[in-house]
Amino acid sequence: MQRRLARRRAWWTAAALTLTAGLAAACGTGNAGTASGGGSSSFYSGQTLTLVVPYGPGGGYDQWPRIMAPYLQKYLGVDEIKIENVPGGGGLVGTNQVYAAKPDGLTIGDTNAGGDVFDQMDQADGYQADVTKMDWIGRPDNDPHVIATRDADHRTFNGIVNSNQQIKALATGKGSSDYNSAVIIYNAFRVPFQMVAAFSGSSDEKAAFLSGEGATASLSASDIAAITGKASPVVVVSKERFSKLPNTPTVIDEAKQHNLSADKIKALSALSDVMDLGHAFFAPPGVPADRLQALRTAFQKAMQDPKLLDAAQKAGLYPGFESGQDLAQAAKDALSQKALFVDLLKTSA
Amino acid sequence: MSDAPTTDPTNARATRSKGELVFDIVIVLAIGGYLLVAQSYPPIGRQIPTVVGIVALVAAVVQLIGWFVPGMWKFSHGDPAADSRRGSSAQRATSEATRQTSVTSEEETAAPEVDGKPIDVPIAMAWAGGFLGAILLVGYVIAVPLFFLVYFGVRRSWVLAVVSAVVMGVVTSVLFEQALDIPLYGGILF
Amino acid sequence: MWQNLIDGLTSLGAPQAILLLIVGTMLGTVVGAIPGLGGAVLLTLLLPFIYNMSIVPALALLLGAHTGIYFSGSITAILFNTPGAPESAATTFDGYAMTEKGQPARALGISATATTIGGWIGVILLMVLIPFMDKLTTLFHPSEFLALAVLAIVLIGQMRARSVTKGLISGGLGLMVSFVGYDPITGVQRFTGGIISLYNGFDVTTVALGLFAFAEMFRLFAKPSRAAAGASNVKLRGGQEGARVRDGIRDVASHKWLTFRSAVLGTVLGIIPGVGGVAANFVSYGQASKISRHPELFGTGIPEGIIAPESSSISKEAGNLLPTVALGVPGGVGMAVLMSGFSILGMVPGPQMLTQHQDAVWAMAIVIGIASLLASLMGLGMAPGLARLARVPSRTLVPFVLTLGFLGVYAATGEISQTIAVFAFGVAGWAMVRFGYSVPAAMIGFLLGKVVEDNLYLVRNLQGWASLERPLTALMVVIILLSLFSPLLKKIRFRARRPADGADATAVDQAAATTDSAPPVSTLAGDRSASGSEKGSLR
Repeated sequence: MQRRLARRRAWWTAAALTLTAGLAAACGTGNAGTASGGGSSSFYSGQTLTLVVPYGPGGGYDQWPRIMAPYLQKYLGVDEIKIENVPGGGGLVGTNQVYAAKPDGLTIGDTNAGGDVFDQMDQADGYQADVTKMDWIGRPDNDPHVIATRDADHRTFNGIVNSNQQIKALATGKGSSDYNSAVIIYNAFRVPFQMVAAFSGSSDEKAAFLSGEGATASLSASDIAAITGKASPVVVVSKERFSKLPNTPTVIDEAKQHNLSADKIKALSALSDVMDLGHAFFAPPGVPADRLQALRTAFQKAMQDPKLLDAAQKAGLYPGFESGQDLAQAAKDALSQKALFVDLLKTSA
Repeated sequence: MSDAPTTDPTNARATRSKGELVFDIVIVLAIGGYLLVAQSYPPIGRQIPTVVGIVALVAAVVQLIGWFVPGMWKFSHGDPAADSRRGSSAQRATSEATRQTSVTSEEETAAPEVDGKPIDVPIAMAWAGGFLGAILLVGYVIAVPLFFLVYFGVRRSWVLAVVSAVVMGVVTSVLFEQALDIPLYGGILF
Repeated sequence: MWQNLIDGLTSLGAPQAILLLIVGTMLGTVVGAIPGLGGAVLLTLLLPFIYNMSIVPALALLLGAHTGIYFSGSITAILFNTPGAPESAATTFDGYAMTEKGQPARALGISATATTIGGWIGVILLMVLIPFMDKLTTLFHPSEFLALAVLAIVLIGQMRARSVTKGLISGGLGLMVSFVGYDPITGVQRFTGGIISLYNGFDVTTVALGLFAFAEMFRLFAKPSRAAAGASNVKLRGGQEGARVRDGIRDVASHKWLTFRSAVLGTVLGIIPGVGGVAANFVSYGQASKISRHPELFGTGIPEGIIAPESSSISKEAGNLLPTVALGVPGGVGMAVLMSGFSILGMVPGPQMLTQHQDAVWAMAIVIGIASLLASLMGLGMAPGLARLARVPSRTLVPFVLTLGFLGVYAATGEISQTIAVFAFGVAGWAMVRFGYSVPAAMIGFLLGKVVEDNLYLVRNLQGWASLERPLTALMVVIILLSLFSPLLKKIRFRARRPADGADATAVDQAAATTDSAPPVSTLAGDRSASGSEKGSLR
């Protein structure tokens, strides 16, 4: 599905939208988007940047580009940012499209970088990118992956580990990163579990979970935040504790507490690396160094803009910048841990 | 639409066409192929498609047998007479309903539906297929006006052809590509 | 709560909000007429414009457009058998048939009236339910999704096939096509032939346009002048009594109970995320034909067959708002875009939205109502003119519909493989109609096949079969069984009472059905169907 964000050439039904714009201006609330100039790179001024979202509207992969677009436009100095939704293939189609795009710095995308790492490890059908070659631009948010239980069930992580009944664990679909992380964790802790994954997206998974089905859900922290009071994270799949969930242990904390073997701890920490990649922005391999630098700088400046931070907070998103250089390193490291996962990814089903 | 030999005189012509026999065979083959492909998937993945496929296959095979077993036609292919009866009774009923609210209706005088010459449908499909081929080759922006130019040029007048080609060309490139900003397929050649 | 309702109304009363509501509705109505651009495409195109707006006006723009889309999707369904939005396919069954009978203006009148009345019933129901939306979260489990999907398939699956085998094959083919694509249960891509663009299967727009619009265009091409237009030109001007717009309005007025029932059904189904939204109009159509005393007339262009799906058309969108707002689980594609809109506007869907932005929630409900009224008024005004479009000679019409279909599919999916597929579905759809298969059965099978498979798996692995005894599920299972066996029961009764020619009996029954035009009001669906068959058997 191609849907685009046209910021400047709004000439369809010109009358109607001139009206809209006029009214908006008259109303005059938070005028972030229209600010032009302040651009850093001469190459980008007057250009159009295409930002490919590999999923449809409605989720974090769509929300971040849409919230960031006005600020990226401002700091990059481009005339226009087009947001193009290319759903399909569980994100593969859009990610492949950006990866194969002309590396002129005018086409970038965001992607489920953790999922890409798993796909690359599995050599998944249809995956045509290479996380070690992508030009990573940056990550806007710190929204760690979590395992959650329903509050009504009063289940702690220890309760799951020591359960003598089979734990029914919800995830979206087999082979997705949320599925894989749950499998790796439960195998590492020898939890008796059964994966139940037949959902077309995390919102369907969330709905089933809230209705009282399944014992645990594998979701991101912001997914759970929207349903505070109904479900809570019991463990965070991240290297460090999450500032918004100071009392929730990381999976590594728990591993140490349960005296897991060094190998398993190593694997869980590698998993945390993979999942920490999050919603990352990237450009196709081979973008000229100065343009990549301009993209990275603009991205970072945008992420430091207090107005953007405010807008993201209001939208229930968790801003937490990570640089492109760090992402590139993390992606390389994560990919090299493949051997650690092989045994832990085995399921009976 | 040629008449197949039939033992049952009530099964009038137009129902037993060669086209329908071909279609029945295509369905059996398609479902069979689907079932074969399904068997390469993991057990849970092939379960439901297999069940559905087998039910459909049985129905399709029964239907095919209907061609050769005289008494089975009505069961497998239905009673086309019932269709027309249904149609006319429906018209009767609605016209009665109409009479209730108004005074009169000419519903019954409406001519029964007549399909055109049998060759017309393949012609329509050929036009659409040719159009699709043009889209694949040269993309929407060129194929759309081209299609209207050729279609109305061949079938009607050149004036209509040019006018419609211009109008639809504008719809394609201005409305879709520019105004709505939807990038359209550019074709293999470009 | 009342304070918030008043706040919501006040912010809607601002000139900017009113203007944007009108602009949005008009845009939706105009653009929604282009197949493929309904659903999510237009809404996504509007997102960039809401950046600088305050919450209520922005939502007025988006929801106004959303409502307009569903309204005009029905217009093209009625006039050209071309569902503007996939859900509008249910309107083609009788809407297009009525056009073929030479009464397009009446069909448009029914559509506009039923949509608005249904929409308002949905909005009022929504406003009643908003305070309780927190409770909704635990109401629907996979077993309900499963039962609902099966019910929809059973209701529509019996439609219009010439024989039992043809019906089975139609539904089976639809189901089989729905399994194409990535299977979350096994992580395998099925039946895609390695084509990555089929990863998500065939798009619903592709299938709906192929089976309905393209198939009909192939058929029309072979009929140089459209049957109805040729037979009675006068009527198409809308001047003929019984075929006017106002006759359509009267039709709705004389089927109050059906309108109400379908609207409530639409709202309730809309609340069920994922399943209800796509199926609502079909289920609504199915229940109307099941409960009707003359089910055999459905599909021949009778008012009931338009009223039922149209009453659900907007009311299901009102219902859709609930899971979107309360759970952050979008009820349909349009609602998913709305969620991106929420984030631009700085709102987080979820239970807290009721505390933080309750005025906006109320405003959204009211916007849907007002937009449907606006769209309908526009529609009613334009209906006589629009009806004239039905007179366009078929061979002139065909290239335009084909072009917009090819364009719309590509706009909606961005995949050239889907453009090829729409042609293939068109050929298949034509053959199915030609040889007496049931296209509606194939469509509903396609819409819900994957839902059935996934939820069957979830019921088996999460809930266990005992869940079929959950009250809500059990109720639906009973309705499924009733509708499966009711034709059989009716037949047996007929045979017992009247050994004469069955066809004659139905004709008499129809006559009876049409003589008392105002249907008696009763309370329960099952109740009604029982009394209906009783009436038939009494003769």
